[in-house]
Amino acid sequence: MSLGSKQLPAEATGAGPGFLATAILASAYLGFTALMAFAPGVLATPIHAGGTLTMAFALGLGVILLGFALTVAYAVIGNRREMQADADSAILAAEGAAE
Amino acid sequence: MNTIATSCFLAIVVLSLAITWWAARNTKGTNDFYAAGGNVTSLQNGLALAGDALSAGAFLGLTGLIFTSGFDGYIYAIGYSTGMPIVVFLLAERLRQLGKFTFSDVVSLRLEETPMRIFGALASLVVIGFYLIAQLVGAGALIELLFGINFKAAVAIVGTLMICYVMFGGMMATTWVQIVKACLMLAGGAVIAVLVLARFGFDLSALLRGAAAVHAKGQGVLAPAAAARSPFSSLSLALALMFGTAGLPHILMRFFTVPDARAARNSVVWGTGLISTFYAATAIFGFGAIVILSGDASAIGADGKVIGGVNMVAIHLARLLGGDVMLGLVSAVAFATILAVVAGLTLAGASAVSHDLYARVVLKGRPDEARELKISRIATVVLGLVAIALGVAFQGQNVAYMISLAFAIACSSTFPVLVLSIYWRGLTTRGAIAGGSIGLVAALGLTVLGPSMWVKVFGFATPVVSLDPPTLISMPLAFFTCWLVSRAGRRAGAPHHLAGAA
Repeated sequence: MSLGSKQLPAEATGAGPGFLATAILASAYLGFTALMAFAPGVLATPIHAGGTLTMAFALGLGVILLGFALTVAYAVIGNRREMQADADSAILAAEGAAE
Repeated sequence: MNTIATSCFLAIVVLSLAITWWAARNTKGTNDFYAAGGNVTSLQNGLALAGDALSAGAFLGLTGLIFTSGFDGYIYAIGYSTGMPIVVFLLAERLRQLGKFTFSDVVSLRLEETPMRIFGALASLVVIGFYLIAQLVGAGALIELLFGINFKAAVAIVGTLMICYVMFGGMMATTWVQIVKACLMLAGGAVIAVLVLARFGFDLSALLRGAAAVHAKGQGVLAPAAAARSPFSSLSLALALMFGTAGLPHILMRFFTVPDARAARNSVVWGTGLISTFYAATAIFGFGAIVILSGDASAIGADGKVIGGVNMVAIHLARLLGGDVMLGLVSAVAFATILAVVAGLTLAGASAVSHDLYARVVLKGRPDEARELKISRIATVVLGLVAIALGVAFQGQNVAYMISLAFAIACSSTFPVLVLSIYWRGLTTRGAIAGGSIGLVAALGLTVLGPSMWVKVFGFATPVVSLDPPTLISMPLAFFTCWLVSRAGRRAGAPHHLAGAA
């Protein structure tokens, strides 16, 4: 196997959205963890006075939901970019053919 | 022994084994992992992804954790749910672009192949070991409870069954096997969730109110408390759960089984949706069990402990909800899926030994399939025996907690090397080996000295290291060492670059 000969596809979607999504999810989850560690009182309060559901559940489920929402967003953005790239290369090919 | 439950159990186990065997037969050769699997749809691949990520051990363990500690147990479910999105964001797309789907293949693109394969095999073996033990402990407890035989014998039976399964079938964790497994688990989980909620008029607040009323912690069961007592351990756990999935040996290749990048993206949406829903639903299982098992003499022994151990909470819950039939069905689903997982893991471990270690080190890369196959069979037996011995040693420990140890080791060894090799051109082979090995040794060493092994397995009064899991130290240490050694040794070896790497 020859090293250094591997070429990445040119249409490579940049690492940007991936890093951004990772950063958002990590801050949300680590923020939640920090609340648990340093401000457990906040999480023990009910969402509305007299209710059973605590902030812990709301935020915890929020983290799970955020993970899924970010995955959907990431997939949609990726698919759009790919379609855009396909369209661009189709236009280029058409122009090339016209010349 | 309970005739209705055991016959249901045996029927389902045999049936699901038959299905997986048939599926694996149909899959072999045409639609293998590496054969690109052009006809796997996004939904199917998403299900397979869920099958990879959701183990029955996690189902049993998480329900038990929440039953015991309330929200402090639910933290694990929340953490596990973040793992798959991270794999998607950081690795999936890049791996598709590179066209490589195992740890060793990816890192060998830029780094020297032989040392990286040896490191990858060793790290995988340790991770697989912990994962395997956790699943065996769960399956052993299940057999112990259902058939009334003692735990040691039960683990030995499961282990032997697992070895046979791999030896005769060579059962790969193929896409179809994982799909069958995921459907069984998700269906079982959905039925339990609906039955639990029906008891509370489909009112989540009523369920939680009930749990707080009967649990020893009272209202405290609805909010976290353990994290405030040991903030560093909880941060450490968060890192392990979040980044551990990305370092697991069997997750990466799943992105290769769909025809194109678009289908891969759509399949992770399906997969993550199913996985997230399941993890969210563990609250219903766990808090439901707090109420439903409470004061029931058939589930809680005279000593106040769960009969069969804390991993059996979900099984008791199934029985109390749906009688012996439900008990048999849920046990069978859990058992069959555990068997599929351990077989897949054992096979992955055996191939790490034969293909990466033996073929690289002893045969020095000269192909000799007959000997490799022989070594792989020997490795299967040895791995099985080791797992049985350790499974017995870890008796009574929570399965979900033990899986988190595997995650802690994965995110301190394979994960840093994988991420750096993809995103940082400066990584050298030496740096990768040094960082990965130090991370691996640190994670393993600190785990042995920590509460999970030093106290619970070896029986010492206090742990040498109280940080549990050790990720907070071992993961940054691995990254730092990779960087330091790569920087220091840059001039020593020829730099390997990916031409055009972004």
